[in-house]
Amino acid sequence: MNDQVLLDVRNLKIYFPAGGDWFAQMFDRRKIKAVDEISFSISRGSTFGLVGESGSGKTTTGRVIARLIDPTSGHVTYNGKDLTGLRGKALKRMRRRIQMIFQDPSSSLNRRKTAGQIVSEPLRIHKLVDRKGLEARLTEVMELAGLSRRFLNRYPHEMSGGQRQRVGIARALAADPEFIICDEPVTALDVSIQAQILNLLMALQDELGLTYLFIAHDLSVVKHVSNNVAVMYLGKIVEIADTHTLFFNPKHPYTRALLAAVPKPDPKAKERKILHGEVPSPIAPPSGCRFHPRCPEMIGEVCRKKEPGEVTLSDGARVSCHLYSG
Amino acid sequence: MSAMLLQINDLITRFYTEDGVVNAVDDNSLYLNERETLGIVGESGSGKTVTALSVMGLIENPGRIEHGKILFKGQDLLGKSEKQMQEIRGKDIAMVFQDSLSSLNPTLTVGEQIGRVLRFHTKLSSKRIQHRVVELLKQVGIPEPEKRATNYPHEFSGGMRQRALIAMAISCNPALLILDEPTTALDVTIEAQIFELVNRLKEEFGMGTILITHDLAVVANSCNRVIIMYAGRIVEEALVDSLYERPLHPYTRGLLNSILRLEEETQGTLFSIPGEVPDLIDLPDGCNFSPRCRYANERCWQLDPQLEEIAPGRRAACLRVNDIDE
Repeated sequence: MNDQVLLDVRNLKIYFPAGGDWFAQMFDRRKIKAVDEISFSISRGSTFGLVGESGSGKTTTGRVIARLIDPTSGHVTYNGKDLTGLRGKALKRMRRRIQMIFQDPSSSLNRRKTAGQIVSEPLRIHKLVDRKGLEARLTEVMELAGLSRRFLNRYPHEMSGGQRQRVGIARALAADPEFIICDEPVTALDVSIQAQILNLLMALQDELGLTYLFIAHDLSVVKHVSNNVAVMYLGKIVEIADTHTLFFNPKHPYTRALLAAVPKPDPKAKERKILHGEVPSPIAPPSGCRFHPRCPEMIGEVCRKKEPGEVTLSDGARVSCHLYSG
Repeated sequence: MSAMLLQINDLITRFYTEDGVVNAVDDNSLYLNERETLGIVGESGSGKTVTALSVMGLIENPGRIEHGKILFKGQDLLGKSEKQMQEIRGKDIAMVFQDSLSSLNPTLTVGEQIGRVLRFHTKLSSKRIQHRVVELLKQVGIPEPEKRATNYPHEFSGGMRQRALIAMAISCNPALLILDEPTTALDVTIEAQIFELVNRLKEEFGMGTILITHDLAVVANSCNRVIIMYAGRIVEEALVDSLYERPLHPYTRGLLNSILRLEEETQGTLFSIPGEVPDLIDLPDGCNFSPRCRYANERCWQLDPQLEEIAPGRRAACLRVNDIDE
């Protein structure tokens, strides 16, 4: 089973200084605990969904795996190699295997470059093709992303949102990666385009044997694409399970509240259940269980005082909640 | 039958850009009854926001309202001077925009900004205004309203800012409230809170409300009637229940089919509407939706469908509306 694991995240912590620049930090030594000791692993060829609201730490986690930022402590192991220690050439080699697709293609694509220049960049950096091979490879990746080669000469502003996201996907595919971090890849797109892009991502996975980390706040999107899902709240994973178990038998009160808050496209549906309050500050997270101030199922003092450990239940779900630790 | 609060007749709003004439709102008529909530659903470029801005008198150069009537309580708003509109805006008709950060002035406290609306439209003393501001913040569920009134917008979370904007919008008890994607930038648990608030305020104050959104699930939960827009045109109008039970227009059907449903197992390829929204400068011949429509035939590519009454309260603009019932 273990040789199936492509990516393993262990006890990952990412703290940022709360102060801002070095001067402000002299007066404010507090830390923003963006990610506070999380662990999960992703099997080769699967999709791992990471859900949570803003401030949960899901995007930061993705950035550490892409090595865009360094973790405070913990390890990210990719194909048996520790990514966190990599520097220089070894890092560059690894980066080719791990690519990223971003939320807003209008800000993640250079507006002064044509689609062709954008997509050829990874090919150039990693010296993957010679000049003669370039044209053919560009056409090939553009077609994989569902764009004709006509688009190679267009600038981002000459394209629709969906077409821009396809260019972002083509750029990610150009270096022939194994692992793609999709950070809210359909959030900024129109409803009728979202389904197209999701279908494309899933077809590419089948065709190229890709492994995805799929970060999103939209639960129904994550449910559709993922094999396993982790729910994050304020820097912690509160529940992690296979997709079916998580969505049809949610355990953690936060997961349940999140699912109940999603509006149903049916006028006869019961009213949405309201989870009151807001996500507290990650500078000073609540004592005990971080969810306790908003939790509708609090069992007592223990929730306020003691941080719940992770328990594995009979259906394989791993939950951090005192409801299950007794 | 309750009285008509707003009536838009044959509205045409165009933008004269360097690239050509954008047909943003292309000859649309709609109405809103007192105490009613109307959902206007569409993707980017559908004309839903421009319709609202036309009502508010906020169409700016190079945009022009070229034709039509906008009757608010029987008075034509298009005949009003800018000064008269200033008196109506914020008092009789108020609008809440999507992006709460750019709708608020970053250099003024939240309390001061709400106070300014009251100072402009009422003769209340400064002291009374202060009281009213705190009362409003309390009404929209902002904790510690006295203290919060002295905060600047950046000190508020996204959900709080949206509450503050709603407080500002309802400050003079408007008869008509327009909400433009009020929760699109917010997390789902906060979105549920905002709609709970809006629904409560509607009942308390009896406003007519227009909710502009791309999200059919949100509409199902909070509207009485729905209008679907596509590329500047209204393509369907229905009471909420009948729209979800039996959508008539192929575009509406496509939208409803491409929604991911949390309560269902979904696997494999998603239903998606092929193609992209047309360029509003260069619209296709015949029906705007025909290039993407699976039912389109020769006639659809040539003839422009008119919005016709199919049943009482039910309108659709599709030449094949009677042929395509499966």
